[in-house]
Amino acid sequence: MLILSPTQPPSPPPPPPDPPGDHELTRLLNEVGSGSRPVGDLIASVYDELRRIAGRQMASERADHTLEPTALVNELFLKLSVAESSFQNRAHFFGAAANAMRQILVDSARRKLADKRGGDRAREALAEDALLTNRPPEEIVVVDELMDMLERTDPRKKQILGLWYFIGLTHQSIADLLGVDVRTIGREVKFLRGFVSGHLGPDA
Amino acid sequence: MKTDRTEHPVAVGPDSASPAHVQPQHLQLLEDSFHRAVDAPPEARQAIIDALASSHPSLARMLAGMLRSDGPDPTPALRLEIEWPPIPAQVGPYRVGERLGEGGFGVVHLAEQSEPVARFVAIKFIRRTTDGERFIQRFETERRALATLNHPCIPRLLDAGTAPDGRPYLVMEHVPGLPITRHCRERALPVEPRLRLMARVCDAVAHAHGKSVLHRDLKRGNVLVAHRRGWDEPKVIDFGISKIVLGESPADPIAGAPPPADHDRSLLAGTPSTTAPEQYLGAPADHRTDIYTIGLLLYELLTDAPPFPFDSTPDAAERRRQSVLNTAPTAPSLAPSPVQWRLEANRREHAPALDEVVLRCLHIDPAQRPPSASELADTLRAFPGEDDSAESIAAAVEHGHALEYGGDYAGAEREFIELVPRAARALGADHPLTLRAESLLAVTMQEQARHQEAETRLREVLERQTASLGPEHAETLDTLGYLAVCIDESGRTAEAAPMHRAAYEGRRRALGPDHPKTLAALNNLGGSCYRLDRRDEAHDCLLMAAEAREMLLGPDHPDALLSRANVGSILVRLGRADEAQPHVRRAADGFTAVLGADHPGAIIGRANLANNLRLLGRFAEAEPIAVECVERSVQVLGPIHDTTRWAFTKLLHVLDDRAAAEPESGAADRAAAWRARAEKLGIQLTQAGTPPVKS
Repeated sequence: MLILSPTQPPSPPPPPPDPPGDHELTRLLNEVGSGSRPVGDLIASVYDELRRIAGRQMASERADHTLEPTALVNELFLKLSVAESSFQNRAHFFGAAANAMRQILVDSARRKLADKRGGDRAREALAEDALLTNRPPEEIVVVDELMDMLERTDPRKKQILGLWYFIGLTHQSIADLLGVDVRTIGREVKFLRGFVSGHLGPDA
Repeated sequence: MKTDRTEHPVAVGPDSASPAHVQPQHLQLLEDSFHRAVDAPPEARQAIIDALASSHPSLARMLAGMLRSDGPDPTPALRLEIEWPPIPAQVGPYRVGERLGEGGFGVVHLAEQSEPVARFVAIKFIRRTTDGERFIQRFETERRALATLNHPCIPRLLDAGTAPDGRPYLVMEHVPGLPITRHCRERALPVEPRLRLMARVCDAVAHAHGKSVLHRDLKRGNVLVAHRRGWDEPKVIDFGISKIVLGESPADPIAGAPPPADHDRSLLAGTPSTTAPEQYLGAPADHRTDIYTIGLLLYELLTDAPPFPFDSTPDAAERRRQSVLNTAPTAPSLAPSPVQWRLEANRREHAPALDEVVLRCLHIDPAQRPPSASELADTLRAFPGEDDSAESIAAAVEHGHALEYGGDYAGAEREFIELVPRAARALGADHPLTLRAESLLAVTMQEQARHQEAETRLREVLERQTASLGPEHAETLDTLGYLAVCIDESGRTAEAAPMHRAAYEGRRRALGPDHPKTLAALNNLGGSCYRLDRRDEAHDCLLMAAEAREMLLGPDHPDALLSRANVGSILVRLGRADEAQPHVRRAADGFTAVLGADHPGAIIGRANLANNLRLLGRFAEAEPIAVECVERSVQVLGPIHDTTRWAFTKLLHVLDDRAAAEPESGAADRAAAWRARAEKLGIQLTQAGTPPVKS
């Protein structure tokens, strides 16, 4: 035990507290992991956090600078995976991530489609969408619809499609996450890819 | 995974693609057709589309769209670069290398250790998965199972710990080998060596069953054959879904007991190609489930094909289930490509008996299978070998003895375990050579710290030798001496001492006072006196044995070196550590030079040296030697061995004394780390370590 003498210089000020977003996410993640909070809460927070990061990025970047979409999302997940240090939460973590990204990407895709039809939007929101992905919005919307259909008929396919399309996990990662052989995932993804493509038509 | 989605903020526009092209109930049909078309050559695809069009025209249009090579090619909208933390490149002293394999729960990598012993090991990490908590429990079960087992055909647990990222790991002996089926096929082995390999697999499984461990996943990939020192040795690996049946002896049927809570999930985690009938029916796995899977392997080794085929098609599991439950496999000798017919037309007469054994293992009713793995091993060894002449058997006994003397106890055990039934068949069960082979078989087991097994066998052989050869026969006295050592090493020195004396006096009468065996008995008698703390008597015996052995055998003979080491030990006990030093060092160096650093005798010699240096306060010299001894002993003899436990004790003595004498050396922390490791490896450290005896 160290005994402080009265002549000791004053201790340095305490470090600034963690940004509330990070702290909140970490806590949420733990609660979702332990089952005391629904996954939906996490999705909402991931969504908010992503917008917060996007806003900050755009404020600090020069106007002509295009930020790689993946880099933006990675910043968020880097934060999350640091918080997510134990093994138990992975299913929740990636499941929530896929759901959150689905929602964000689909919202953005629908805005873009509405824009094409002559919608009127704030520049800021448009730039924000451009940061997310470069896949055609039609494709994203089709995947979204197929996800709904698969949810009813084949939930596992839906899960695989989400992990593959919306957060781009590798086949091996999906196999690890679902505890199945990687070749099975390869086969599933091949079909799902064809399935999406078949729904897009030649001019998509 | 449950979706939690809010409503779309913007409604779907009329121009966006609609996914309603496929009725949900047709999804499976579409998928099957898709895979068939993709797997087919391009020119055959149109036919598949046309066939589908006749019944489901809209599905066929969809399929055509899916197969169009110039169509849109969806790729992920995002790619997360964040992955699970990769396997660390370095974990403790292990540099992690290529991936060797992946099981249900773990991923195994090759790793290289350079300090304090250079070797390749297998390091197993928990698999990256969703079900972390349960898998960590499984991992712990595997560690506990491995820490209980001690058999040459089961890889040794060398270390266990937790990586900095929180991931637990196990370090095991690396088995550079092929799956048993591939090994036999690639070498085109005849039936007999295949049966011998499987008998050895049965030995390993019987050992596990004797320790209340069920393997539960004995598929071909989990039985590797390693080629070591000129031998093919099978190793049963991956106790990842093993089960420790606490409080129950797996030799007794466990049927009727309620299934363990994790039963169903364990079944799913196992291998669908080796599921046993009772598992399909929801009964708990017991030791007879392992016997069933041994039967599957035997069948495949005799026919080059499994009795119940399993492939990667979606309904393979269900088809296998149906055939396992409803059909009996064809007798192996009638299978399309029976190995035995092709290779050994002259041994056809044994085929019906062999068929019967294999089909009995595969019986749908566990009660009809061979009752134990050891009985199955005996049955497999009862099939005649190639050369059963007395000369070849005598040569094999000598070869086994030479292996044993050279410290290759596992190799010697393998030699003898095959030899005993061969000798019994060819020469008779009570022939001196048969009895000698049995006696030496027990010695190899004792040298691998399987004292109980060894003692039972030795007592039985001693009785038969006494009856057929007489109590004063040299070979009877050999067995008596082995039994004395075995009992002594089991920690019952007081019981062993009179037997040592009887062996010594008997040999003196039968062989003369200067015979090497008489001197070995004298040395062992001195060792027992040492352990009983009859110091003067010990000093006299050990010194007399040492002087005579040096004179008769030469100073560099291992037995002479051992005696010299023992003289060192008694001098230490008499408080004359400085006087002991040259003896101890000479013995340690001599052993290492003559026998090689890995020989158990050399390890004991160096650990003695470390202990001696400790007594002299030369901790900095003692510590690395003691560490090296522990590592080697864990590797060569396994964690469950007296020598290993003793080397651990000596190392901790060194570290504890050093921590007290040199607090700044960090020895206290290192001692704590070694104690933790000992616990993980299942080593129960005793207060006072006594050096193991060696005849």
